[in-house]
Amino acid sequence: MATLASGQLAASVPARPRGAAVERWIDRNLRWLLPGPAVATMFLLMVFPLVYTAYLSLHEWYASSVLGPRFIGLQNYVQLFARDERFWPALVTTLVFTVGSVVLTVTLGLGIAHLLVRSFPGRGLARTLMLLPMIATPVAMALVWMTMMSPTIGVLNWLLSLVGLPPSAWVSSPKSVIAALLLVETWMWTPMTTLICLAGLAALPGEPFESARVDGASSWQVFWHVTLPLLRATLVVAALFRTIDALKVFDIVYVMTEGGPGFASETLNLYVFQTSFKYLNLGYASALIVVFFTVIAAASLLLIRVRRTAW
Amino acid sequence: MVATRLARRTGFWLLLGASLAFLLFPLVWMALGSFKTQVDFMAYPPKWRFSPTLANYAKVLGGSDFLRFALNSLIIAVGSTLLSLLVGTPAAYGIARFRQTRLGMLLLSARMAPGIAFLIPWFILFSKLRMIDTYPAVMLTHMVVVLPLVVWVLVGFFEEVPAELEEAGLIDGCTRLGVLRRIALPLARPGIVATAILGIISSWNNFIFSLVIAGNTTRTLPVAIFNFVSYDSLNWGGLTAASTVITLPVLVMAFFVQKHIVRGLTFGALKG
Amino acid sequence: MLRSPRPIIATTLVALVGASLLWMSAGPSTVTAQGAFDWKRFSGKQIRFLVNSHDWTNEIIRPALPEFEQLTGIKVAWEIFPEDQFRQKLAVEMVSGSGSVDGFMSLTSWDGLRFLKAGWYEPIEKYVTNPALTSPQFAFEDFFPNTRQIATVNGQLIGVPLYPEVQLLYFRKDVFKAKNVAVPQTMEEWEEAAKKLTDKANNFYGFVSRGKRSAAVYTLAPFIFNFGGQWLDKDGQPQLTTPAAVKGLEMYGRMLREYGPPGVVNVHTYEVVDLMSQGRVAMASDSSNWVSSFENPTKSKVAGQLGYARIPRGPAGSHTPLISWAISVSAQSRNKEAAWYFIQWATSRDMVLRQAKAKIPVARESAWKSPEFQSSLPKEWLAMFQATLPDGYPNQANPVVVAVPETRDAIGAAIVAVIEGQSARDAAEKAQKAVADIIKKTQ
Repeated sequence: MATLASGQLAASVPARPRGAAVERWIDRNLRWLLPGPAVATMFLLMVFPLVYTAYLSLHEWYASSVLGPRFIGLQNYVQLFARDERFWPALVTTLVFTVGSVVLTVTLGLGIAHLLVRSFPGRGLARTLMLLPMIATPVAMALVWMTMMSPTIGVLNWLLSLVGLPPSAWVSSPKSVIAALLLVETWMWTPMTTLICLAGLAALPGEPFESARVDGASSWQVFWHVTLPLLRATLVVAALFRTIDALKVFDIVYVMTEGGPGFASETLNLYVFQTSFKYLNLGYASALIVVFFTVIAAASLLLIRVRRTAW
Repeated sequence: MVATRLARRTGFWLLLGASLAFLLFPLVWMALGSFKTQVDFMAYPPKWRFSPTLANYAKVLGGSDFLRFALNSLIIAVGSTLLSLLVGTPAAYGIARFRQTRLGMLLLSARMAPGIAFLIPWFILFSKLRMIDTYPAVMLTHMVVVLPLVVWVLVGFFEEVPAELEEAGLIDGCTRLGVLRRIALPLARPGIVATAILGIISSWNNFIFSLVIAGNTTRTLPVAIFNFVSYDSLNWGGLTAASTVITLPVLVMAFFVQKHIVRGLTFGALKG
Repeated sequence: MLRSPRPIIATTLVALVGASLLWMSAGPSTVTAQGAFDWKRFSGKQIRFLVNSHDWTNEIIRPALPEFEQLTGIKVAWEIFPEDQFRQKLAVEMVSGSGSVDGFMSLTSWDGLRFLKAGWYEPIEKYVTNPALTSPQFAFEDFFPNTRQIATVNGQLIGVPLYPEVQLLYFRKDVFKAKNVAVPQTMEEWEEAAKKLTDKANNFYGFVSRGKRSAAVYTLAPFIFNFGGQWLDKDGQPQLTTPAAVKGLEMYGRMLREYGPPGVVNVHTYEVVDLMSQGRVAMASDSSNWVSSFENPTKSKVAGQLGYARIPRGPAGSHTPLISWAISVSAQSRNKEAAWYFIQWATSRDMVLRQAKAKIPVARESAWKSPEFQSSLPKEWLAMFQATLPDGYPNQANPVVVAVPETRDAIGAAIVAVIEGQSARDAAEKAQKAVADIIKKTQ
């Protein structure tokens, strides 16, 4: 059936509308008018601020100072790359967190998708319940996780003791804080990767699986040699979305640790936030933002490139 | 043969059970805890049997401020979603109809930028305009998240509208705009409703923009609960009750659109 | 359409009678015998104050706001936030310059220089000395001289001091007695006592103080001072790598690491209070202000069982920072006089006496010496506070610089590192470098 998506409509039907000249003008230019308001809004709300931020990054400006911004060229960037002792650790923390999050959520998501793709009684309910961590308000859930992670009376340490494991310090030690945050992040976003993998799995053709089974392949071999290759594009898409979101993580880190203990869990986003709204160093923060955005864009482009070749 | 099948089935149910347990445990814990007294909550090993109390909810809901913040969250969520729908629906139709994938990609790239990138200029601008802590300001900032989402999801719904119906309208002499109004929109209406709910959920959950741009008048629930907890850090009963109250509306809303969450997330995800 | 005039006459008579009755029964606050001060001068104004979460803001002022409104006809929005959020919120609003804040609290050791440089304080000297704007009852001389000094930044009086604080050692008399441990007088004895009193098997710890980055800088200070160190030298350069500072940092980190509860690196002042109040620790060192919480039986399980002592002395004696929050008028306010009215009411003799009765330390001499204050607070607390006061270093809660948040984060990171087992010398050197950098960029 021809739908709008198939693009046949635009080409096939001659445009001969009735009506006044204005209506005809609108109709002819519809393709520009329709997205007009949205593009204008995005421009005002996004493009302009981004350009202004880039402009501000070339200035020195403490918001609490009575002086205005002072042009200093690329000095902020020099400071950032050469002399800032918090930037590189923050970058590393962000990258470690991102890779960990992507690996965990995509792996788990793929696994759970395999479970949910079969039909079984209660599948609808299971699929709905599975979504909940992603929908629940992140700040509220992060705080709930904090109560569960209390080193002395938290339920998570109790669960660990049930299986004979020693208690963990969770977010109150620099050694375990990243892992603890990853646990929360994985919990929150596995539903998303599950959904993406589910759609991918459901769209797979049946023949490769049938032939493999006819050839006597085991489940694991089927998975490794048939499913995975076919799913590569899907997995890259899931990884792409997760990468972007994990690089930008803010809510759970700010609420649970504020970058602590010390600076152990300070991600780039958090460092930028502190510099902007705690230290009020807006000029330098703008430079950090430009670098941060570049990192995200680079990672995204890399993954998009991978996806193209995956076809 | 039967044994392995039984083993496989058991394995399946075990894995499924474990996955769901992992995903649902914190929510269950939160709900349970909201009925515990302070003493019960502080007990270790954790108590699974206890006499429930409504005191936490009474405290959270009884304080007049909490309801005010809930109202703010609602106003801002509905406002930013309506605005996004207003400008986003025609854009989504255009992208679907005229295959303007590059435009779609542009809107998607909005997702790449971290919120903080906009906050400094917005903060300066809204300060100068004396708009800090006003509803329009906060709604506008939320649009940065909601608008791309709205367009993203709606494109998928519009693409499902059968071409023949639109063709028929055009042949009958209807303008393209008329086709949008009289054919595409009504057909996509369930999709629009679903999209609206997704937008509302997304705005309701937002933290960072409200943290900086909202003030006492416009404070939303995520910010309110964060403030509350920092002072009374050991009042876990109050915290879980507040968390339950905050997340319950979006969880309920999600139930209504769960089919569409799948569609919405995966539509563009596997295309373009 | 006008009907019979009788109802109108009747109504008017009733109104007149009623009004005269009200007038005659009005208290001295509206019709003063002195006839001087007009509290209702700014009636109808609305003002907004941003303040820090504290027993004073929560328990004393907030419930009394209707009284102020009745007295003056001014409506007050009294917004309370926990300390970290309060600071950020205030900074963001003041930077926006929107004039949405009429008054605020500030901690001069932390905010003083920055706020002054930014021009956010409205100097109040001219209000205090203006009889048209300040009630004769106000009597600013009643405030202790060193509290007035704390509320003065670079020679300008920027606010009214609220509650002076030093640091004290809080300890469980009952536990000390049971384990036969003497109250420590020196730093070495302090560590010994913490060791003896820690009972990890029973989840009971010998000592707690702040471990959270930034917050912990305040409670680290006495450790540095008692070994003879200072935050800055006379040129304003940091002194974090002197032997005294390193020794203090090392001991602080070690005590928290060995004898503190798990998760101590996330402990802010509110958690210190909780841990002590719930009976989980034997000793705590923190602001003297918390006595009101500790001795409140509805909040504290250990009310009545706490002892108070000076922070144990080191080779250089026993010195703690001496600080006070102050309440100020915002320079951006469009209702400065109305805001000043509120401030003088909130810090008036009566209100401060109320504060004293609630066991919150006061900056007014009259309230301090009042029988209510002297009897409501534990004798030991009073004695220790008064003993600590002369040796206190005014405003030295952290290096007194412009960029305090950044500086405190850097020093706080060193504290956390040492708690986690890193070498104090390494951590101190890192912090020293960072702070020197910060000062260079921002002074």
